[in-house]
Amino acid sequence: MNEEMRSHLDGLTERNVLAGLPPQEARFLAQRQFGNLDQIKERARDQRGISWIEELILDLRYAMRTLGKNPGMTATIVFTMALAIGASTGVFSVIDGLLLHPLGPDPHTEREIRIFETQSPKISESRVSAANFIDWKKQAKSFAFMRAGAGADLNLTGSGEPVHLVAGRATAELLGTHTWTLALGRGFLPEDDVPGKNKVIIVSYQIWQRLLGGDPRAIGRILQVNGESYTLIGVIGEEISRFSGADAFIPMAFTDQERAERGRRTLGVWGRLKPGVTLAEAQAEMNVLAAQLARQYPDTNQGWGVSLVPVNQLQYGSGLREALWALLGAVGCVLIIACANAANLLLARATARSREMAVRAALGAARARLVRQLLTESVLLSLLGGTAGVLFAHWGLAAVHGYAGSGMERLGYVGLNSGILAFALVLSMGTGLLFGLAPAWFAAGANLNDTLKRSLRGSGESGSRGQLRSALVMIEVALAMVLVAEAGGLIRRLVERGRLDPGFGAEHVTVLQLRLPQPKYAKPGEQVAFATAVVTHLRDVPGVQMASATTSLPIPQPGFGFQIDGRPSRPHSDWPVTSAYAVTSDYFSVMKIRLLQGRAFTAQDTPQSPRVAIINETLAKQYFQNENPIGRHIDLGGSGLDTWREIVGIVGDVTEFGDDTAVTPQVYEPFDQSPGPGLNFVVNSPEDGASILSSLKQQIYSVDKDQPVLSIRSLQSILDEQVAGQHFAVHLLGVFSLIALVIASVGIYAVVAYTVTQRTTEIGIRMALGAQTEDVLRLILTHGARLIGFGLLVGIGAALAVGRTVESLLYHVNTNDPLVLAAVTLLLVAVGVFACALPSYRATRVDPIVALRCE
Amino acid sequence: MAKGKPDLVYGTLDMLILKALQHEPRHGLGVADRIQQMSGEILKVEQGSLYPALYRLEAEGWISGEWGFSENNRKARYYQLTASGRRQLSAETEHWSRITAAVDLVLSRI
Repeated sequence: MNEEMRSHLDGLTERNVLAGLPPQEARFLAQRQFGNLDQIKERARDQRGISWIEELILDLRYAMRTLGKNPGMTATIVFTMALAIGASTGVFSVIDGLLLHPLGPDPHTEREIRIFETQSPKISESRVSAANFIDWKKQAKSFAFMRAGAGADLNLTGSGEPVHLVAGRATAELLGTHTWTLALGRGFLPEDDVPGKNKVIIVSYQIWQRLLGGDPRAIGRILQVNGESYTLIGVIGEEISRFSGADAFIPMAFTDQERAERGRRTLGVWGRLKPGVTLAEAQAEMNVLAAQLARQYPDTNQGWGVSLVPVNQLQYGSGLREALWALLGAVGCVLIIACANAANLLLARATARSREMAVRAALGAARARLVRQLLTESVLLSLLGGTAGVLFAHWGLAAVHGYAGSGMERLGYVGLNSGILAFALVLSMGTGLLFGLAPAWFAAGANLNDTLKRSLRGSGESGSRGQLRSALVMIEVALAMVLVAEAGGLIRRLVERGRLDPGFGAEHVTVLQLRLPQPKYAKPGEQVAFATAVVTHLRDVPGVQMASATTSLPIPQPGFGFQIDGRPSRPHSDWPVTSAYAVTSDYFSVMKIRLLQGRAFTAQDTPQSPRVAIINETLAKQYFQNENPIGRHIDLGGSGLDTWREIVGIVGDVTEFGDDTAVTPQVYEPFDQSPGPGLNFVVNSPEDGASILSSLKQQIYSVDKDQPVLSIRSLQSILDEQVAGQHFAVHLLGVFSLIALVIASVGIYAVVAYTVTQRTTEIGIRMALGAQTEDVLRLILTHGARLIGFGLLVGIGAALAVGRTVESLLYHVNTNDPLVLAAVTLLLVAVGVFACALPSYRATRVDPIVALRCE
Repeated sequence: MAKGKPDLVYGTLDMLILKALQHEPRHGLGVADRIQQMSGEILKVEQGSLYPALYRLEAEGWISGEWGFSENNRKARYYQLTASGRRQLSAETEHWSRITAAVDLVLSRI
């Protein structure tokens, strides 16, 4: 541009020379003709416009300078946004990991389909029969391949301890298409998938490490599975193994019987769409196929259809869903509080900068330009906060992994991925825009005249700006109140439950959990013999005080219908429900359950002796009221005289640790008279070192060397696992409410401090006119108190309303606890007073002379 | 929000019978009907093997029987799960559910 103008000028000069002027004068004349070069340049520049990137860079540099000049405010906003964005990112990660992508980092796309059979109207996701699967595979053209899987009950024996494998049978295409990473060896081939040739097995990474020592040459080893020899041909990669919990796979190898039983629906079926085939096309084809099969095989297939569901739409959720949404709500509150805080601080600054803005406007800056520049500042702030926040989230998630131990294994799979980082970025920018908008608008709207006049007087909280700021603080206080009240209610509930007497003693109790496989232990006599032998052996282990067997532990369990003698008989579906434990004779001693009346079970209660039962206090009270239950009879299912049991004792109630820990009716039967295949051996021993655990397991093996022990651990760890989910959620809530509290108190402090600064002149005047320290204090504190008070009122109302919604969502807990609400109110008042303290103190130190002079 | 998944029934005729009696007592024909509803198995299992299985289960104490009258007023023996039978069934069901869930999770994640 310079060149262009210079040559124009030269041209003019030349013309002037030609007209007869001497060169020097020609130049001056030309310049005058042209006009003020600089001004023209500027105007030309404006017309041409700077590219928006250059403007952005300018804005950024200016923003950084401005923020640097205000380190206190900058640091506060960055820190609070970091906390809020970090918490949001963390919660979103957890939700993503547990709900949205429960299958781990995104597997394939919509081309992976799960295929169900359906029978309208009631059955929408049925498993598939082998015969139907085979026909589909032969005839369906929409799928590149189709595969099937089913569960398998495998016990590994022969080397060391017997181990139960959570295993599956899978058709060849499944593992043969090697989209899984295999750490070693190979997947299944069609040759393996034939009965007779199917004695090969693939194990998970963990099994390979644990049982085969991670031997790199383990491929080819022979393993004894269910009494037969299987060759190890592959080891599944670590990542998938960690995620799933399946220990091993063997080939599907349909038997002739399975191929014939078209009505027996036990398979899970998956398929991958051929390239170019849409889901709708595939569904249409499968519908036709299903109708055809229904015509061919009406006995088994009539009325049965097919449903295709993309794999990433499958639901694996549990009761966790509600809790996670509640957490989302909580973190949303934290975000709003942080944004309100930032907006408040920026609004305060906006007032202070109004002079600067007014000057710039007067110099020709468009209002939009000013707004954009201020928004750049706020977005920069929140981006900085977001970056720090992602760091916080990373640390936070690492801590969360600590919970992934018991009961929440899938938490171990939660982490930051690119999607979540993108979310954090968008969130940062969005919040920056959100909280920057109002301050930017106000600041940029400054009128130079008004501003200069106003700053002479030192205005206070007047006008819409002041009202907005007060409103923001009240919102902060209200939301903080809601969060802390909810968290407080839940925490109190947990603590109370922890203190309740559960009715039994879990200290020093070790549990060995087994399942007696069928058909080996199909007869009740065999089950009784096994349990009796094991209990006898367990008692003989040095260090063991008492041992017993039971079919259930005090955790949530399926109920059994029952009836009492002497009552009118009702249809079975109307029978009341009780928990039922079948226990050997020492159970009540091992578990330290109190015997209230009558007797416990003894060795005299055998399969041949009269049938007896023991009930708990609640059942006695609810169903016998003032009558004596001893000698009466109870029936737990079955009819005929020999299933009525005589009640011989009453014991104390036992809390069944789980989500609903209301006390239920409980009935105990002697194990010998009512056995089952799922066994828990409970052992009372003060030590729990590795050596005694190993001896305990040995007692099982000495009775049956091939019987796997599913788990051996303390009763307390089993109970903890039941409540792990709740504890996790409540702890998170607690952390969030703390964050909210911190941010809200910073907000209160900032507003009150600012008030003091703004009213310095006014305070100076008042003091000069005779106001005492107390008067000044009162002035400031009243202002602060009004803010907090209104906020608290709104907050209490909101907390009550939220409490009622939460009650229906989470754990049937009523968080509207007056004690908690009162405590939280006091807490917030204390916080508020504390936040007002420093500024108030500063107010009293105002030197009236200085105050009057400045401005 | 149950999606109407029919329960898996693994294993033998014994388990199928226990499953058929899970919700209410039935007589022999009712058991056969229910099993057919659940799995079509009965086509392969002649009615002949149903009654020996029922008597065996009763002898072992998983179910108990009582005379009553059927819908069309015929005398029929109604069977019901005992507490042991219930335990047997729920232990098996829970066991297989757990395996199936773990296996399904992996097989979906291909």
